Amino acid sequence: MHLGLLIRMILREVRQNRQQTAVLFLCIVLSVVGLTALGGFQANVQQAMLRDARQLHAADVIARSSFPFLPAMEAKLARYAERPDVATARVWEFYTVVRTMDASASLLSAVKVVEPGYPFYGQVATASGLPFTEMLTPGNVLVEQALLDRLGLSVGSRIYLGDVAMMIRDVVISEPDRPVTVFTLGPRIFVNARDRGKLGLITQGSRVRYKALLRLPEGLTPETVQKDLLSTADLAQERVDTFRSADSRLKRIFDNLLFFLKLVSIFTLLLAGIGIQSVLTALLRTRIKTMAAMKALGAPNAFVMHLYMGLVLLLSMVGTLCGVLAGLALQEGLGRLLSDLVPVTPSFRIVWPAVGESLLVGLLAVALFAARPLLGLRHLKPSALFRHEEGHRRVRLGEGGVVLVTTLFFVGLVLWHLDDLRTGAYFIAGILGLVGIVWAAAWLYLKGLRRLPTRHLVLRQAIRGLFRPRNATQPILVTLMASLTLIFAIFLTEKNLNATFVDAYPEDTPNVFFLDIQRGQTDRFTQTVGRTSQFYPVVRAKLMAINGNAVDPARERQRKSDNLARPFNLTYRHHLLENEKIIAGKTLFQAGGGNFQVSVLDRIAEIGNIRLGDRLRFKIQGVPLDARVVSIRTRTRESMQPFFYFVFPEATLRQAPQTIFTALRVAPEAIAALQNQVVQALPNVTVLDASRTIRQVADALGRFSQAIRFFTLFSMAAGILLVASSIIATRSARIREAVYFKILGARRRFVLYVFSLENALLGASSAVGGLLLAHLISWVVCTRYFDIAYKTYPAASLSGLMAGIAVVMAVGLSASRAIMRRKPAQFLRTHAAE
Amino acid sequence: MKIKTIPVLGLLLIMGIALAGCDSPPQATTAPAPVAPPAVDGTIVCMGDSLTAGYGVDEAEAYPALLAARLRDDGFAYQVINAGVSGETSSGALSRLDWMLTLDPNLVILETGANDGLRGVDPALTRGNIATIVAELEAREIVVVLAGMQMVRNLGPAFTERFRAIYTDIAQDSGVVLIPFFLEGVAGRPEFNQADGIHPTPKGYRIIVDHIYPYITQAIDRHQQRTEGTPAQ
Repeated sequence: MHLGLLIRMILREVRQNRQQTAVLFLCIVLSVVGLTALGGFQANVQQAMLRDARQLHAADVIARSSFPFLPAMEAKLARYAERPDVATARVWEFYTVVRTMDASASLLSAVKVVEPGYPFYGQVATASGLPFTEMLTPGNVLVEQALLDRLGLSVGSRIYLGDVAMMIRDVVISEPDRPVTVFTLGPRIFVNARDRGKLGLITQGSRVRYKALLRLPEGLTPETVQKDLLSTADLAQERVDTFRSADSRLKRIFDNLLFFLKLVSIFTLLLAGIGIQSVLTALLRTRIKTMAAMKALGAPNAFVMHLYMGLVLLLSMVGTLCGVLAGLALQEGLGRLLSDLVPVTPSFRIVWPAVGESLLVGLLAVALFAARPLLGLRHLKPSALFRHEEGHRRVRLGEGGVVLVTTLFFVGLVLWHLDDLRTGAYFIAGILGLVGIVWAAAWLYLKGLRRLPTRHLVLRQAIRGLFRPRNATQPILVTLMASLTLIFAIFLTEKNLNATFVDAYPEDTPNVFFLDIQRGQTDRFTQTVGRTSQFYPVVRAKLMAINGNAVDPARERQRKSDNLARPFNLTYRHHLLENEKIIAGKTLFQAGGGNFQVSVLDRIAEIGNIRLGDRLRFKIQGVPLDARVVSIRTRTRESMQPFFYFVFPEATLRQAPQTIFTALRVAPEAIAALQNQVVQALPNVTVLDASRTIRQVADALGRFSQAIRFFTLFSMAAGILLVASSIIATRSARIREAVYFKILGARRRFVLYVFSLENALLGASSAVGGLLLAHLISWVVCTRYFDIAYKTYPAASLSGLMAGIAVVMAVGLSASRAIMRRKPAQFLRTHAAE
Repeated sequence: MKIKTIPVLGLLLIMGIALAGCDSPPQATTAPAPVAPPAVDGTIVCMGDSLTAGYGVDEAEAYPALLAARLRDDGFAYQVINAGVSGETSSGALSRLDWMLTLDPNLVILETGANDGLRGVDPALTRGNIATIVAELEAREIVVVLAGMQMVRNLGPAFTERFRAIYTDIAQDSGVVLIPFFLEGVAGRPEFNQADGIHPTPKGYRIIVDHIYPYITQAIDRHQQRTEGTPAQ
C-alpha cells in the first residue's frame, strides 16, 4: 500500500545512519562468509579426496598378493578382463640390484613392471614431458633421477637389470600410486611388461608384489567387484581393495581442519549476530523520537514496524548475498591454497546445497538477532516523544521467546555442524559458561571501579562516564570481553596448533635417516657426512612382564593401537629431549636409585596401564633385565625427532647389543651423493631418504595453518565489528556528555582525553579479562580436545592485549569523532526536549 | 572427547621412522626364561634375524622352541635360547657377539645375512662379518652351525650367486657344520609363508626343524666329542 513511501523512507534511514547501517551490513556479510566458504569447500574437498584416493590406487579396484594369484582369482580376473567395458592391467613390484655396464657400480632399486593401461587414474610425470606410455617401450626403462645420480649415469645410458641390458629412456618425476608415507630403499625403475619374461627376475624364489588393477564402468560399483573377487580369494595371501576402502590419513587431517574452521565460523556467526543486535538496538534507540513522531502523526504501528523490518530485510538480503559471494570467492581461494595437497586441484564448483544452507542460516540469524530490538517497537507510544525513557525496559514475553528461539537456533546449528552430540553439548555449555563468567566478572569489576577513589579529574570523569545513567556499560563490557575472549582464544589455539604441527617441521627437519650404524663407527660416520649429529643408541628388547604378570602375545596382537608384545627399541641417556617433559616422578631417574630404573613414555604407559613404581621385566636378546618405573614422560609436541618408549640409565644398557640411529637435514640435490659417500665408507649403514615425504607433509601443514589463520582473521573482523557496534550503541549518550562538557567550558582536548581514557579503561578491562579467559579456554581446548601441549606465549599475549586495547580505543574514538565536531548549540537545538 | 587424529600424519611418520629406524616389527629373545633348568649337556644359542626370532608367530612356534622340544624328546639335555633380532644385519650380529657370548653357549646356530641381501648390501661385507663371527666362535671352542641362505631371485643372478657363495665358502674354509639352505622346502611356497612372502608360518617352521635337525645333531656330536676330548674346566 505504502510501498513506494516505505522504500523511500528505508533509503532515507540508510542515508541518515550510514555508520550504523555499514556496521550492520558488514556484520550480516561476515555471518555467512565463513559457513558458505566452508560448506562448499568441504563438498569439493570430499569429491577431490575420492578422486585422490582413486589416483593413489591408480584404479577403482586393486587385487594384491605376495605370490602369483591363485587359479580362482586368475579365473575371476580373466572374466573381468574379457568384458569390453572393464580395463585391467597387471603390475609387478620388486627390488633388484642393477649394475652399470662396466660392473663398476651397483644399486638396489625398486622395479615396477607395468602393463599398458597403467595408471588408470593420474599420470606418471616424465622429465621430458612426453607421455609415459610413449617412453616406456620394450627394451627401455624410466628411472628416478636418484638412480642416475647414484650410478653416475644419464638418460641414454644402459644398465643391467638381471642379465639384460636396458636403455634409460627418461626420468620419472612422480607416479600417482606412490604412497605419501613411504621410505624407499632404492630409486624407482619402470619396466614395460613385455620385458618381464626376458629379465627373468620374476620367478620361483623371487619376492614380488603382484597387483591387478581394474577400471570399472559407470554402474559397476567397486564394492560389487571387490566382494566378487574376495568370495573365492585366499585371504591368507590375497587382498582386494577399492579406492574407497583405503584409509586416507590426509582425509582425517582435512576433517580435523574443517572441524576447527567450523568452530571458528560458528563463533564468527555468533559474534556477528550479537553485533547485529546491538547495532540495531542502537539505531532504533536514536530513531525513537522519529518513530514516536510518525506515530503521533497517525502512522499505524504496522508502518513503523514495516519500515524497520524493511530496513533489516533489505540489509540482510543484500548482506547475505554479498556474504555468499564473498564466501564463494573465499572457497575458491581456499581451494587454491590447499590444492597442492591432492594430486589434482579440487575443481571449483558451486555447491548449491551449501549456498542454500548459508543463505538460510544467514537470513535466520539476522531475523533472530534483529527480532528482539524490532519487537520492542511494538510497545512504542507516541508519548515517547516527550519522555526520556529509552534504556531500561522490562523484558516482555515475546522477547523472552526470541531469546529462547535464538538459543535453540544456535544449539541446532552447533549440533548440525559438529555432528558429534557430546562435542556440541560441551561447546554450548562452554559458551554459556563463558557468558556467565564474563557477566559476573564485569559486574564485580564495575562495582570495584565505582568505589575507586580518584582525584585526577580526567580519570574521575572517565570513570563517571562508565556509570552514566542509561549507559549500558555492563552489557558493553560483557560483549567486549566475550568477543575479545573468543578472539584471543582462537588466536592462542591457532598458535599452539601451529607450534605443535607446523613448526614441528622447521627448515632443519631431518630428512635422511641412517640406520644400523655400529658402535665404533660413529666417528667415521661424522667424518664421512662432514658434520655432527645426534646419535641415538637403539637396543632391541621385548617386554616380558609387568609386576610379574607375563605379557600375553595373543591378547596384545588384538589391540588396535601399539601393543606390548612387539620388540621395543630401548635407549639410554640421562637427559630429557627438548620436546619431552616428565608428568610423573620427579626426575628422569632417581639419584642413587641404581641402574635398574626405567623412564616410560606416557603413550605406552596408557596402553600397558603402567604406573610409577611398577616393575618391568625385559629380555634383551636372551638376557633378562628387571627395572622399576621411576618416571613417566610425555612429548610436548610432534617432531621428526625419534622418540623412545623406554629410556634407561646409560650404565644399564651400555654393554647391551645396540645399533645407532641418526638423522640429518640434507639439501635434496645433495642426498644421492651423500648416500654414495656413506655406503662407500660404511656399507652396513642403511640410508633412508624421506626428503620427499617430509617436504609433502611440511607443505601440507603449512597450508593448513594458512587456512586456519585466514578464518581466524574473519572471526577477528567480526569481533572488531562487535566492538564498533557496542560503541555505536552508546553514541547518543556520549554526544550528550560531550556537549555538557563543552557547555561547561571544557576544551576539545579535554573531552578527547576523557573519552580516550574511558575507552582505554573499557578496552583494558575487557582485554585483560578476555585474555585470562582466553588462556583458560585455549588451555582446555588444546589439552583436552586436540591433546597437545599448551604454551602461553607471553609476548604474543601482551601484544594481543595491546592490540585489543588499541582497537577498542581506535573504534571508540572514530565513533566519537563526529561527536567531537558537534557544536553544543546544534545539539541542544535538536534535543531541546532534554 | 579427545580427538587424537590431528597429529596422525606426523605421528605415523614418526612411528614409521621409529620403527623403521630400528627396523621391522616383531621380536627378539629367548624361549621361556631359564626356570632353574635341570642339569644340561650344554646351551645352544640360536643367533639370527627375524627368521630365528619368529617374526609374526609366537615365540613358541618359531624354530628354536620347536628344536628344543625335538631335542628333549630325543633325550638331548640341551637348553635352547632364541637370540634372534628382527631386522638385524650381519653387521649387527657381529657387534652384539660379546653380549651373546654372555649366554655362554656351547653351540651357536648362526642364521644371518638375509637382511643384508634384502637391502642390497655388498655381499663382500656380509661375507667378512660372518667369517669374523665364525672365527670368533671357533676360537672359543664353540661349535658353529652356519645356516646357509639364498637371496630372493628378483635381485638378479649376479647378486644372488655372490650371496649364495658366502656360506659355502666360509663353511669350506672353517670346517663348520653348514645347513646348505636354511629355508629349503619353505622359501617361495605360499602355503608355508606368511602373507609377506618371506617369513615362515608355524607350519613352515616345522619343516625347517625337520630339515635342519640332522645338522644340529651332527653339531651336538661334535660338541660331545670335544667335551669328552677336553677335561672339564
